[in-house]
Amino acid sequence: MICGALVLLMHYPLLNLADKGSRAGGVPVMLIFIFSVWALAILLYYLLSKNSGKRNRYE
Amino acid sequence: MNNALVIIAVVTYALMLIGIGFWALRAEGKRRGWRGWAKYKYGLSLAVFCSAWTYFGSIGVASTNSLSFLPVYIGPMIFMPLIILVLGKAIRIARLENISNLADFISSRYGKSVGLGLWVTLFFIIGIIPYIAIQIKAIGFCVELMLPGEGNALFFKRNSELFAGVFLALFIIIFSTRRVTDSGQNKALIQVIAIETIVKLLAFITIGVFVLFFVFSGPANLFHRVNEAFPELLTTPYFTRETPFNWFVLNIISGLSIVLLPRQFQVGVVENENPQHLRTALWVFPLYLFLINLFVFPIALGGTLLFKDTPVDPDTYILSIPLLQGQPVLAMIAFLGGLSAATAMVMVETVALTTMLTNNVVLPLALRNKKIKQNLTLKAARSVIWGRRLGILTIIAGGYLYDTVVASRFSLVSIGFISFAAVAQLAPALIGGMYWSGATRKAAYASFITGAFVWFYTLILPSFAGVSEPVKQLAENGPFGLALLRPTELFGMSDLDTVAHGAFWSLLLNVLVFIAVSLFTQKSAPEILQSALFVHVEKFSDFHGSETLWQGKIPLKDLQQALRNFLGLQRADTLLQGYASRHNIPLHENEMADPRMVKFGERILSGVIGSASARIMIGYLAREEQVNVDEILNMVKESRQFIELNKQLRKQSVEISKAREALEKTNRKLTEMHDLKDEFLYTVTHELRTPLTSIRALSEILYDNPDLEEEQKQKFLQAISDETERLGHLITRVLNLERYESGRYKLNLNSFDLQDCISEVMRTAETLAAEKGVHISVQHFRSHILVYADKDLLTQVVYNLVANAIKFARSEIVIHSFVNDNEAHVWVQDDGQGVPYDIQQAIFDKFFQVRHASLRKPEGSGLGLAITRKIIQMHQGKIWVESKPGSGATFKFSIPLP
Repeated sequence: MICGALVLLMHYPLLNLADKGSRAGGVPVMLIFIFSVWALAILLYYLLSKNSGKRNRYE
Repeated sequence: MNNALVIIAVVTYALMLIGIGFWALRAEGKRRGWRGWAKYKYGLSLAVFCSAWTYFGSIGVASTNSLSFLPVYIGPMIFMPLIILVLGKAIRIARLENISNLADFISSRYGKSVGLGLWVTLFFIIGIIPYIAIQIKAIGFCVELMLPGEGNALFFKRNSELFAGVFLALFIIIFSTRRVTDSGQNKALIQVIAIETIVKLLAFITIGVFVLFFVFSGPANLFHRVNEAFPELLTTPYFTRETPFNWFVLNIISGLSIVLLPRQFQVGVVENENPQHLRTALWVFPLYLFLINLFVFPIALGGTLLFKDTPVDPDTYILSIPLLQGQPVLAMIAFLGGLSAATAMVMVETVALTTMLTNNVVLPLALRNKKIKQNLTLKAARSVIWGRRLGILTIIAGGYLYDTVVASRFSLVSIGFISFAAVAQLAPALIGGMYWSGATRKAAYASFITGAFVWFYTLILPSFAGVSEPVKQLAENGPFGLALLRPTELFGMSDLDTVAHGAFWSLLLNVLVFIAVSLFTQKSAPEILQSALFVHVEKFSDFHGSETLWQGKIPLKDLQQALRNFLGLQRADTLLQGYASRHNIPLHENEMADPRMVKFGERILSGVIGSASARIMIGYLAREEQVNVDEILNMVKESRQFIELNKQLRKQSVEISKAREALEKTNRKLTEMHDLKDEFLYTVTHELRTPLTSIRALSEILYDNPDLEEEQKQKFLQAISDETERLGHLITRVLNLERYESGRYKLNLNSFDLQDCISEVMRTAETLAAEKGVHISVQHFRSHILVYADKDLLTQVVYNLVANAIKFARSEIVIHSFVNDNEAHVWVQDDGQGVPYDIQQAIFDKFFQVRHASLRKPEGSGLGLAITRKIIQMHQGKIWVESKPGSGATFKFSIPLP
């Protein structure tokens, strides 16, 4: 499910919404968007790994 | 920079790596240092993915082609959970089969095919040597930038790539070929790789922070200056220059490369110490990719600004910027980071390719020679070691030659992507083979050949257009002038870049061929076994199914000797004895080896010489008879029949068990009934004896005393009459009950008003109640309740309940009658002492009062309630009592209405 969501976020057409050539604080929005999604994915993976660890301990 | 300083730094760094390697070798098998390090070490070792291509090449791409450097890292990040699943399964399979390299994995899946392993290895070597070359090239231009090139340093500078190659070859030889291991693992090397991974990350971040915050005073200033210098660069949407499909294809092949690059398979599968480490790698590896990419774009933009209108290669910005800014220490840090990135990749990739080369090409070919097989001695292990050393030198030399002859024509990134597209051709055979048992060896061959051909045609051939006129003609016009077959615009697809185009067509055709050929071809016997093992590895973790299909025989001493030849005497004997003891297998040297021992021996040999070579060895030792598909199918059929028979036996066993239980139940019931009959007879005779004793005693008194007074005589005669009546009454009740229970009594069913029965009982019982000082009242909720029953019997039921109530009531009895839920209900409620909860069921049993005289007053035969229940049951009704001890009792019955 996470993979599916990331594929959608990181590809056409959702990614193109951030790709308008606009900037926030001088930094291209597309760059901010990609690295934000990336950071979110790391957080999700971290939580996933911790939860699967707990499950393994109790199983 | 100062020549001596650079050379000292390089030598120090090299010595540091050697030191770490030796420390790791000594620490092998001992628990030292931070215990949590192992899982992070695993995650970090996966980052060997970030080679010199990342360190230098990404900046080059970002400066010329904006965000095009990102798909290489976004692909693995997006697909990380799937990658972890695939790696997890591959680790289980590799452990079960003792697989030590990627070609061996594929060969093993398709029936330990020697041919497939050989071709896959050769293809990997062709596809990966250019990749190794770009690492050597990166080291070369690093040294070129760092050394001014005067005096003695000029020699070092000119031959830096050669020195780098020699150092790498020696380093790998020292740390990966000291001895033959049965696991294929190189723990010392991995320790070095993990350290190098940290070094390159820290170096990259250091330079990134320097460029962004010290050279350009923060991101806002950098982007502002870029916008001023190149107004179009940041305001033009990325996807107006690149197609979204291009982005997608590059993501896919990058994601696949995390499993399919030989070095990734080596660190991800072969070197994995604990599958639990995958959980940490799930987030550590994407975090690493995130951190190392965070400063790529700023460094690239910074370099573009600083080196505008100069011939400086964008690939070198990470070194050129600190040098330009007069920061020799930072330049040295960047240089060492670059060395780490390049050397780590070359080390792991070379180890992986060398293992493939020796285990899947050299040894299988050598072992086909009968003389070599016959003359294997204890020196076999040394031969394997020297074979590997030679393999390492060959691979590194290949990389060096490619670098000096060909690589100078291409950028780092173009070579890297071509390698990615090459390894992706193994995806259908490898990943498909792990999850689809229908995949066949012929399909693996066909798909691999198709993919490799299309890869070569679309990606390699066009790169020679500049040096060969016929190739140029072919690239421009297609073969035989067929424009649809132009290598860079296959079937008219022109909007993709060369790499995405080639990767897309080669993978698509590869997958289609793989599926189609699998559907139309059959698997051989070894393939059937291996496909089951790979696809359903979880079922085989503790069990080797193929042992049952073992047909050959090997004397134990031959098996022992074969293992000793490759592993040495001590290690081989320890392993065999350990296995035998764990599985309770007796070890008699002069006997044939147990099939499990043979399988175990083959597994151990697989770890040393590869599964295909191990198969050849074991086959030779056993003079194994070839098992064909028909035999396998017969065995499977026999197994199925056996399983079916077993199922039937189990079913019958269950049925027998059920029948036994039913018999036991019936037996218990019969015993109970027998006991009840005995008890009943005992109770009846006891009840008969009491009045008979009285009658006899009174009669004897009358007979022996004719002179008794008349009044006395009358009293005795009255007593005899009462006892006789009681006796008759008891006998009548016993007989009635017996008739009811035996079914001999036929109900005289009629429609009548239930209220008539109650009125009749009221009339009969009125006198008896009056004698006891009890008042009886009736509450009718309906004036008429028409029932279809035996009127005499139902009257008897009501009478029995009322008579019973009179015995125990203190002053009041109320009879209720009503209809509810299509049933006629009659309740007889008294205000007596009530019935204890624990006997409310039992009071309906025969002679209950007699047996439990202490509970309620034992007046009457003790059969009244038993008869009452039987009559109600004969009318398909229900009878029960509700009572709170001390608050009276209500006897209730219901019968269905017509």
